[in-house]
Amino acid sequence: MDLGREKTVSQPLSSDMAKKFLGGNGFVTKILWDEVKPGLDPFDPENRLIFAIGPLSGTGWPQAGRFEVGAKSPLTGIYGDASCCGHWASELKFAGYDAIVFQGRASKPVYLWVDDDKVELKDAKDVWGKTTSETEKILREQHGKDVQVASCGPAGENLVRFAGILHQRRAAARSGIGAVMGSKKLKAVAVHGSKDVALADPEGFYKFSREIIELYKRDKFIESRAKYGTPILVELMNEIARWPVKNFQTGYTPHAKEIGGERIREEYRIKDRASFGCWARCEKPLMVKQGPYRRIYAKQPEYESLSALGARNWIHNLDVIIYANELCDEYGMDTISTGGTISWAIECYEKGIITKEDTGGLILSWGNTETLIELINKIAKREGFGNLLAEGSLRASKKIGKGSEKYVMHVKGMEIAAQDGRAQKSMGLAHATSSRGADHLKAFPLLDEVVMNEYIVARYGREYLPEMANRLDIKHKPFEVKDGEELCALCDSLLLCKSAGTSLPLFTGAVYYPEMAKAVKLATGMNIDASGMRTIGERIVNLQRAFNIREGISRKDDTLPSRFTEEPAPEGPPKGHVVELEQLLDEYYKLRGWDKETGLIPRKKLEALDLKDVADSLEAMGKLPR
Amino acid sequence: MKVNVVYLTTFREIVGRRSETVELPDGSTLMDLLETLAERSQKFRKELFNPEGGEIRSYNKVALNGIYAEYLNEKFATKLREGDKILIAQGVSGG
Repeated sequence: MDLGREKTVSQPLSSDMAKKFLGGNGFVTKILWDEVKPGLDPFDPENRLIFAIGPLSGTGWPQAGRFEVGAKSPLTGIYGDASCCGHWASELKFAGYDAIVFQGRASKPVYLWVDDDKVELKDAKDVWGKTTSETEKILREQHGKDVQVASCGPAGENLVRFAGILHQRRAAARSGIGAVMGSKKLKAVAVHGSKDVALADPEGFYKFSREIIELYKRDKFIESRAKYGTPILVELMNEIARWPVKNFQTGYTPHAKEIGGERIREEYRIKDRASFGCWARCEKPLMVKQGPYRRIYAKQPEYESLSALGARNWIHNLDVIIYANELCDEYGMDTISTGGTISWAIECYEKGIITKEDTGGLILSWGNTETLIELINKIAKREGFGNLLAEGSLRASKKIGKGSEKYVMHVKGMEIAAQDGRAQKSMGLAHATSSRGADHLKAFPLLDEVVMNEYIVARYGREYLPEMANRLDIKHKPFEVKDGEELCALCDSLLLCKSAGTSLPLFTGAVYYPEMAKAVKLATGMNIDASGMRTIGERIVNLQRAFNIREGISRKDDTLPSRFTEEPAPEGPPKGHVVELEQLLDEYYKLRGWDKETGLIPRKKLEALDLKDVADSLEAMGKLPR
Repeated sequence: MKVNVVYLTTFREIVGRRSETVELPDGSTLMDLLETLAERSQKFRKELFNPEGGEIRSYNKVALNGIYAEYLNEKFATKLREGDKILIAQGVSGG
């Protein structure tokens, strides 16, 4: 969809693209590599915004209800993506599409209306400036209640660099893709589809699908997610001192129980909701029954949001966190970057680096609920001090200076999520190597999180014990992260949920490469074996790295804040620990087949992954290792 | 000797409270504590232990002062001390 020329071209999916990249995050990666020139400003109309689904979307395959959105990130300046569950992905499949690629910038605000074969750009005057839920409501009133809408909120329109894209109160939150959407003056993508989903072997597919569903239904981890959602992790992560408190000054707070999953279930939960094909139903609409933040039907904040908007800012008032979370969703902002940026500002204020002159008179302090709400409003509207914070913590620190950079908890410009790497070394490495900047979901190393001995044996063998299961021991962690990155890239291409659907692919291996290969074959007829699936994951990881190398990324950028590498954890089980990042990286590059000194990818590795053209391009730029 | 026990997920529902102080004879081990708790409730026992062999089910996690039992030198035979904090959870990970 060329927004500038208002021109649509519909292309059949090539079998080469499908076989090499599968869908979702694979398509996003390949299209960004092919179509976004290095050095391009992410807000340039020539940036691409790609919505992509996968070969299992719309089929009812368990936990495959997500869609992926990618662009060059305005927050990090490198590869950017995010994914979201709900019913948008299945609707796009029913309309007959695998991806929508936007380029250019509309002359006035528009939204895309897809109704099977009818694809129209429509005037967005009725929804521009509206919040995300208002936008969905208005467009469903106009086009019908079965229409599925993904939209950016006011934050995306205002180019907040960590704006996300929302659908059914769920967020494709990270990387600032909502700001790219806003920069293109694209408010929403509304989809309705009524076509059948063609399967290569329907009988075989649904027989196999039912077998896998039975595994999910019996799984204890799914049972716990279904009951509590991700907030169940709060108290557990706090107990192992991996729970960020006061901008990662420590990993433990005695107040965690006040905002944990059990309390939310007991006192706030109304019901459970599920996405298409989801057995974990981890979304829990809540009610705040009384007080100034009373709300009838609020969304349960995820573990990450409870951290970012809560403990990271020393806020343990659940009513306030729920309201702040709602605000972020309505404005369309990533809660992790929002809370992370605010906590950076509070720490700088505490240390006298930021003053009332900078904040326009606002007093920043830990636990100040009014200030949290006010800053969220100001960031979304880019008002006053909020205009600076809307740039993200790294850019803001560069403008403030005075040593404020030291307190930015980021990697490559992306605020770090709710894992203190000192308390889990694999997570420390995962944050440093993630292709979209600090992120836990690109590798999602979980086997050491709560000691998964039996699953380590099942997936890798007994020789990896006991060290791999020990989250404070660096042995085998580079392998765990490398392997996890490839598995997660594959999950993101098939759009399998890694959070609520975590347990079977990422713990037990009960839904692993062979099962994914079989599902894809039964759905599409593509005959890719388990080894081929693994190669696709590795290919995507390497192509994302190549995209970033083209933008100037190298080993010097695979780093962590000095708080993680130089300041020992102050309390709890990780007390005295830092992340031994350089040792971890040496081993990680070796396993990847990348150059240890530079983090660049040798031609041999790229060619082995059928990426010769990528090697040629990097060579022409002088970006292959010598 | 008094120790503090924190329950998460299913165990909190079975016990009906978030935490409690449990009194044990001096020299008691982590397994002694778990047996004491299981004695009170068949449901608790069924959720915590494998039916055969009496081992803790693989998806249940027990931590002593933030360290999972698997990583204690004496594992479940570790002797408890006054004021220790024990966490008992089921099927929680991934964040």
